[in-house]
Amino acid sequence: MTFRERLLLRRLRERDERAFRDLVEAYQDRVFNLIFRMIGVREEAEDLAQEVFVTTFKTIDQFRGDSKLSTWLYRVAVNHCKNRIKYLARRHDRKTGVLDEAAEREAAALGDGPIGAGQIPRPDLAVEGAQRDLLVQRAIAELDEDHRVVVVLRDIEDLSYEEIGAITGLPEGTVKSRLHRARLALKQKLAKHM
Amino acid sequence: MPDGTVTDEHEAFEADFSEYLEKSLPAERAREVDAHLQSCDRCRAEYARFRDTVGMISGLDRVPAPTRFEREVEATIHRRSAGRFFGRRAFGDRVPFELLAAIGLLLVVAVVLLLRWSPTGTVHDPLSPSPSTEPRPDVKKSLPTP
Repeated sequence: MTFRERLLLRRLRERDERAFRDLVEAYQDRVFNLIFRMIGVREEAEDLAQEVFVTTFKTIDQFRGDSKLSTWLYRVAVNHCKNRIKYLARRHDRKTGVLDEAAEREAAALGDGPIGAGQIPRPDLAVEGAQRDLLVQRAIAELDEDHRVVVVLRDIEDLSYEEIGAITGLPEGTVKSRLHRARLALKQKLAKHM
Repeated sequence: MPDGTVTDEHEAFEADFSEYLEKSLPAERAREVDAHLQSCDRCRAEYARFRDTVGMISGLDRVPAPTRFEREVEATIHRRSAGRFFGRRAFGDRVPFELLAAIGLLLVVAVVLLLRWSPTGTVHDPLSPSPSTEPRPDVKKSLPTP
């Protein structure tokens, strides 16, 4: 942990409101992007990102300072994401279509209108721009949460294997093998669009 | 139909794609993968797809937090804790010392400039009669004689 992080941590423990603002300002984009890529639905990501910061601030006394503050924040975010994925899966089972509708709205927000798997109007253009992003996002969302976490942390957040190990609590070898399996699965899912 | 040994060989190379892509394979194994990719059309095509897939994932746009995010988090915390979450503000936080200091400095500069522009070095207008130099009205004269 850097000197600056230690100072920030001390102020956070003192419940300093300005320290909290500094923390949110410094990490909000990274945390939000991670959650959005894990969950795939903007409204859910906004809600969850808020919960991550609220939890972080409430439990800051439990942070021993033996890792980077960002690592701890990512760990909180990943745990929240895993719980939310399970919750959404249960809700999806009960109320089929809720997540699909949210994903369609996400697609519309990207400016390309709704698309469904297997009904892409122009396959030759599907891998470009927002539609390509949407396809990748959907493929990621189809992975189970353990594989999703490692692929998001490594290939999207560009973290080292060591950091991913610290966040997930997994040995480096397990992180590597899960990542490889996740990439192979994504290759398989995206093959028809490439 | 390919026999099991050949398929296993392809799979063994495929198992190394991630490390090969990240250039973290031991040099000798990396050379073996190189050589295999040169000679095997199937694995070369699979590797190209694998590399493109990873490229597509890492090429996803970064999605920033909404602009109102910080305020919303703060409002949530205040709401849930009924305003008791954050520590009591210190005196220095409540009084805007920086603003007061800036205003004070501006006032001092204004006074200094006023004195400098004044020809007498005072803030009084030299053309207007000074209250001290003006002759006092003769009180006795103005009184009616009995």
